[in-house]
Amino acid sequence: MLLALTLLSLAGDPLDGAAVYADNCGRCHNPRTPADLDDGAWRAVSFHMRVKANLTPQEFEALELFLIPPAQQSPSTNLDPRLVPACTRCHDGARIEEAIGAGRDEATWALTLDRMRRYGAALSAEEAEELATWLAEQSP
Amino acid sequence: MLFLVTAALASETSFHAAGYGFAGLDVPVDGDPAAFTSVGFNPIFLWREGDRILVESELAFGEGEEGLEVMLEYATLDVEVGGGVLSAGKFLFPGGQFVSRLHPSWINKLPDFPLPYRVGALPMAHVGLMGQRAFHVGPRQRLALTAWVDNGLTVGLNGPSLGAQVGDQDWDKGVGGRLGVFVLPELELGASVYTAGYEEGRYLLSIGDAALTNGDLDLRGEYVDARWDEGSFQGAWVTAAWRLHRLERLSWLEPVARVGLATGDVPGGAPMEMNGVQVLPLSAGHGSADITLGEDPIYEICAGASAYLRENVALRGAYVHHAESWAPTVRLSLAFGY
Repeated sequence: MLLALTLLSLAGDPLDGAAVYADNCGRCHNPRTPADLDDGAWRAVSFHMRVKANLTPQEFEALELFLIPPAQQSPSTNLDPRLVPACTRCHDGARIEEAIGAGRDEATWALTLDRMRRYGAALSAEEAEELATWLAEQSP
Repeated sequence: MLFLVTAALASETSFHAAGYGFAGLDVPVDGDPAAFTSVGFNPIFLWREGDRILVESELAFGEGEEGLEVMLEYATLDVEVGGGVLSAGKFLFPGGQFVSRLHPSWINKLPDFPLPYRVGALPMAHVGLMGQRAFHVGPRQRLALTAWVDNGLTVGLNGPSLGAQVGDQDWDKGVGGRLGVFVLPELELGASVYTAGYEEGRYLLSIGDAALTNGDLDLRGEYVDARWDEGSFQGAWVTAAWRLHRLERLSWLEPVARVGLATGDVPGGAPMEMNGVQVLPLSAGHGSADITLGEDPIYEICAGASAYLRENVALRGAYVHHAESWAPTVRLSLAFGY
């Protein structure tokens, strides 16, 4: 019963594709920066990783959404320049704005940016620190 | 079958060539001549058809004693079925972690394989059918199941021959399974069993594995226990690596250490590789097939580091102390994953 309730509770809880990418690809090797490959290559590689990492269908779906964002989520032209290209290299504008709107504090942003730097975000430690402060200030 | 054809005709095709290359150098510390020990080029081809089908293969090109060596490491047709994946063809041994996920030189944390994989008592690939499916069982927990059936084993000189069998003369197939438990995304525990018959004998392999990874720390290991009619083998290895992400000037560096143990009961003390056991192709650079298991347990201790010139380009170096079989050696490799 507990298992069934848990599974039901997960059904409506979409997974974070970035976390799936970090947890499962990064478990065995240094992950590539998503911008390294085009959408077609990621389609092939993501299925390959599904097999290698034995992902659940939900994880695979989230991973593909992260690596191959739908076309309608094209980058916003209204983003602050300090987010370009460190964030926009991998994420579309809507996703970035959604993350800012989620109200994360500075410590949470610092952890997020630390993880992003491992994936190749072009940020020094000092720049990441400054950006974490600024992002926290943008919270609604 | 009809849905496969329909999916293939009505869907998007994607192709990608990936893979890795490597070269190695051994420098014995007792003054013996240093030697360039390996070179390899392993292209991986991925062809995805629609949402449900992937065809993938890895070739291994290298230089052996008789010149160019080319080998098929794996080639599978993967089909998504009911949320899981069925893979048919030649696949890397799915038990444990090392063979299926960690052996490529740009992923493996050290220039050579862990000791148990250099003795030659463990299978590396099979030809058959593999199915896998994973399930969420909690907010951050999941189970990963793998089961497979293959052509089994044939008899070698003094026991089973563990090479992948293309074709089979009997119905005595090899069967195996692995259960992976992700207690947390950072912590995976696994248990695997594989058994297959050969003539009148039977080979039984059990593996327990664990991995703790968080982006900085990579701590993992395996315990393997293989038994067959003529002998047995037990081995273990643990690797600990710490990527210095948090140190601005040393974030490219990853210190690493590994210990390994191997022991067994081999009739006559014969080298187990004489059984016709297949080790991974072009394996000299990985340190494979260079261990002779005698009556006493053998062990190794390695300490070194990887320098990541880029995230997919690793210069690895390690001091390898290997009881009895070798003089201590500094082993270097350069690996590139693409």
